[in-house]
Amino acid sequence: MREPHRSEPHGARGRAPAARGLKIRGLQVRYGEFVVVQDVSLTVAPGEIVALLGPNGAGKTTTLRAVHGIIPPVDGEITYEGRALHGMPTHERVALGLGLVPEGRELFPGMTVEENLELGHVPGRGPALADSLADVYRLFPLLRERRRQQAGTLSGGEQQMLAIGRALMAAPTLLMLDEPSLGLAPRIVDLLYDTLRLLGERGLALLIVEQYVHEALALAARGYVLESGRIVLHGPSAQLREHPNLQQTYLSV
Amino acid sequence: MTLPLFLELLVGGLVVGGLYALMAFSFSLILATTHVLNVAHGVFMVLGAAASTLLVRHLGLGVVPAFGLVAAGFLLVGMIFEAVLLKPMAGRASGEVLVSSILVTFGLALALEAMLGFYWARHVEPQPIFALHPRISSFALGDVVVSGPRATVLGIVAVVVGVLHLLLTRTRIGKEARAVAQNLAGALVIGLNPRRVSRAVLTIGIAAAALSGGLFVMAIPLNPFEGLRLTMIAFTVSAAGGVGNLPGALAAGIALGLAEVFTGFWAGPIWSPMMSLLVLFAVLLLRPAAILTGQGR
Repeated sequence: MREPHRSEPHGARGRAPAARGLKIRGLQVRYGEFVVVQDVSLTVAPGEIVALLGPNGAGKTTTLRAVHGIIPPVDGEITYEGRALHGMPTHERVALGLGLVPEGRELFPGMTVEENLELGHVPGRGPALADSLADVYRLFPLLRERRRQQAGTLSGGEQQMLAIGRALMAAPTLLMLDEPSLGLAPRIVDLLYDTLRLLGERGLALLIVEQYVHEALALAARGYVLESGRIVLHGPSAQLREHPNLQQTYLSV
Repeated sequence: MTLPLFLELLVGGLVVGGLYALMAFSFSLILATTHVLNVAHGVFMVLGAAASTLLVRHLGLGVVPAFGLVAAGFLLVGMIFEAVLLKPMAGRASGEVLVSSILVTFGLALALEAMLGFYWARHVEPQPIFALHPRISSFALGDVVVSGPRATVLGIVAVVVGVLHLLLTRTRIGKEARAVAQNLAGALVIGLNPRRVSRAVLTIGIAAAALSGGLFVMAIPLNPFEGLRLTMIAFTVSAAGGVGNLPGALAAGIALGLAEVFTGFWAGPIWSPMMSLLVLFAVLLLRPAAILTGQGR
């Protein structure tokens, strides 16, 4: 099932539809001599929800980190909204509309929930600070209750909500999430995915990295399966879900 | 020991301790946010002391306007310091920044000390001593006479510490600095610009060092070659209080100041400097990891 997926997304408008959204072509990333991402090409159209699946060590996290400018790729091209991202520091990518909820959440443990959120806001971008805060608190009422609490004292699920809320404060147009369900109870995962669905309905594009495929494929329109640094499978979610032995063959969960 | 004597020693210890806290805090804030271990920190203090002495004693300015000028001038020096010496290290791994900053600032410290000593001896006084003796009248609190200059030093230290606290907890750039100190990876992910933060912290940190030098010589005179000793004290207090921790630096600085003053009274002044070495020894013994990161093992 390696059918090429060349059809341009429906959401694209304007004179250069090919330039909209995120485009990755021939991405290669190494840590020293060790090639982690061999050859990854993928697209996320504006407002689209895409899942990036694969077993541990397939290069999913590394792909997201390269898109966000945390590690430099050795080869390949990444563009967002028509801008080539090569050599651009992360803070400029955030100003362009990219957001990342990283593996391990990377909160500021000794600062309050509200301070963590405030730091996510980019002055001059998106709504004013107070409006952004009110919006995040509407999405996650629990965070409002805990807003004077230190981030380090939150439970795992609350920390994940805070990490997502902090990324939303920068008013991203594409939010990348690195294993948002990792280590969380099933009930919390459902809650989290409800929120992600809501964000998708508002028009926010999502690129979700997951090892556990069910929730991700239920939400995403399309999916890519990554193995040993290459895309081995790619198609609409419905097709991927019906793929015989998807789990056993590619994901080895 | 009589009560008035005890209180006088207490005030003396508080003055010295407040000064230690101030210089240690700017040192440790720089270390925590930028991973620059500024060996020249004490030398910037001595430079601030020299500049204050020049302004007050030789140009006849009042102490407070002189300190204002010194702080403003050294904001500029801090900016240049950051741009010339530290910009090339931006974006390197924190361990690399730490090691190269030690080498660069150690060289800078030696060069600045030699230049200052030479300039002063040649053009100002043959025996360089930096000291301020402003005529601020003393006042009595019950049986205790509090010296005016000392009370002024305490007051200014309290104001500066308060301003630093507000900067760190109330302003955007201060919160960014704390975020960078707590979790650099998290700060990068959400799009904070680490260069903007390190520029601000180094600029303000160098100005605070120079100002604490000016305040220092209102209580204790300095000569041009005491900078590295002061850096050592700043390093010790910052390690004991927790790197990047303002309340910690305040507590450790005041404790060390009191310990020095009381040791000096009971055992003789030559034993006072041993106190900071004892503290450093204890920190190295009990929480060796804390000297650079603020976290214990």
